[in-house]
Formats: sequence, structure tokens, C-alpha cells
Amino acid sequence: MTHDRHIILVMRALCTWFLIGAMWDSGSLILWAPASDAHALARVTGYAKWVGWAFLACSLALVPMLVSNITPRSSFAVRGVAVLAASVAVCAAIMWIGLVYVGHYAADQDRALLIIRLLYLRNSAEALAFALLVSATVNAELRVARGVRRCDFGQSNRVGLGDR
Amino acid sequence: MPLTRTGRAWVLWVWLSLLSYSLPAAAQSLSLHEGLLHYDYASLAWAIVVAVVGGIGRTVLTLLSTNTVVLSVLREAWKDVLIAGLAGLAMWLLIAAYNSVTGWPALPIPVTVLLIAASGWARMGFFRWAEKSGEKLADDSLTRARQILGLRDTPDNEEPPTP
Repeated sequence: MTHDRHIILVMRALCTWFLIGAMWDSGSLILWAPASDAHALARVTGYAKWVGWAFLACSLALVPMLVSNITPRSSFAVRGVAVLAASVAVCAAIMWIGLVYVGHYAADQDRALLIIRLLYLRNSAEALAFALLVSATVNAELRVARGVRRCDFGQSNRVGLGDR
Repeated sequence: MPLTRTGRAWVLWVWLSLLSYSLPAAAQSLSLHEGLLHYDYASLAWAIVVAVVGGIGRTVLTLLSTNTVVLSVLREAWKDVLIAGLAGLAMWLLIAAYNSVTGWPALPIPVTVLLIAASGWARMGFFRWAEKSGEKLADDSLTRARQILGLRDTPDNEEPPTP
């Protein structure tokens, strides 16, 4: 493997690890730390348990992506794993943003809830950046595999592969 | 005497200046300004963020597609984010208008989130759908009105006149 591919693998593995940690933290605090601000915020939705388990499920769904990036013989993640990881990241981003919105109307809008909401906003931005990173590397692989060069794009930012 | 290019530019600037003065005055007279509370601005910002997430989701889908390769991811994402934000703003206004009607059940938050994210996902498709729906609604209303009044169907507005 080239040096650049090593760097991209390590970067992707690190981003995946951070996102798994953020999702697991959110889920575990909601489910098993009733005194936490995360639990207080999730309780406002009325579906705290569902939200907590959803975050835990999302974090486990990213584990294949982490494994595919750190196993010795993998070059890049298999497409299916990348699609799953990107989809899970976008869903988690929407869930975090939903909690931010719900928290705005909570009865006790104290500073602790504001801090947790800002944290969730940051987590959602990280999740979106991760989804773009994963999907961009998959698209770059496809471009290399199909031999699409820069001059093939012309004025457009996209090239269809139907006739190639 | 037809206006020159400079003349048309002057007319446009004067018109925009008058509009920028009159619109806030009109909004204030309609109590829109006083009625828009602070948390509504936050709600508006949230709607735009949700729509942007939907737009980025669409960009991710494009990048994961096996039929298309993209040159610049940032350019693709930037275009999607801008249009998705506008679509989310439009959808938020529609939802706010619906919720303001007393007697109708308010939309639950998950439904609101899905609608706004879907509008961001659709991007230009949302505006094309709005345009087609508006045209159809207008045409159907006109046809019904003509039938009620017993008028003949007039030629389509877009058809060229017969020689």
C-alpha cells in the first residue's frame, strides 16, 4: 500500500473511533445515567429509552467500518460497509439535531442543558463530516477504478458512468 | 422611447430601494415583526440546519452511487447545502402556516423533522414540485370557474397563436 492510502486509512479509522465513542456516550448516558444532562434532555422527547438504544445501535453499526480500516490486509472499506457507515452517520446527525431542537423548548433551560445541546450540535457536525469523508473516498476509488481523468469532467462537476 | 441599459439599471435600483423600505413597514403593520418571537428565529435556524442535513445526505448518496463520479466534493456539497437550506426555509414557512390554523391538529415533531429533511433531500426537486403543484392548482381552479360560469375554454397561454 502507498503512503497516502495508509494515511487515509488511519484518518478514517480515527474518525470512526471518535464517532463510535460519541454515539456510545450519548446512548449509555441516556439509558444508564438518570442524573445526567443527556438523560434529562432525552426525557423531554418522551422516548428516552428508544433514543438511547438507537444511539447504541448506531455505534455498533459503525464497528464493521472500524474493523475494515484497521485489519492488515484491507485497502479500503468494502462498499457495503461504507454505505452503512455513511447512512448511520447521517441518521445519528439528524437524531442529535432533533434533540437540540427539543431541548430548546424544555421547561428548565439552564446552562447545563445549553452545554449538552451545543455538544450534540458539534457531534452532528462531526457525523456529517465523517459521512462526507467516507463517501468521498468511495467515490475516489470508483473514479480510479473506472479510469476517469480530470479532463473527462470538462465544465461539469459530475460524470455519468453509464456509457463507460 | 425604450430605456437604455443604464436607464433600466437605475429603474431597478430605485424599485429595490422603495421595496426595501416598504416591505418592513408592511410586515410591521401586519404584526409579523411583533408576532415573531425569539424562539421562532431559533426554530427557523433549526429548520434550515435540518434541511442542510438532508441536502448533505443527498450529496453522500450521490458520492456512494456507482453511476456517477464527482470531481470536487466541496463544490457538490456547497451547491447542495445552499439549495437545501432554501428548500428547508420554504418548508418551514409552510409548516408554520399549517400549525397557525386553529382547529387543525399540530404536526408532531418527528413528522416536522422528516418533512424538512425530505425537502432538503429533494433540493431543486422540491421547488420543481412546488411549481408544478401551483400550476396544476391554478389550472384546475380556472377550469372549474369557467365551468361554473359557463365560459368556453380559452386557448392555452403557452400555445402559439394559430395562423
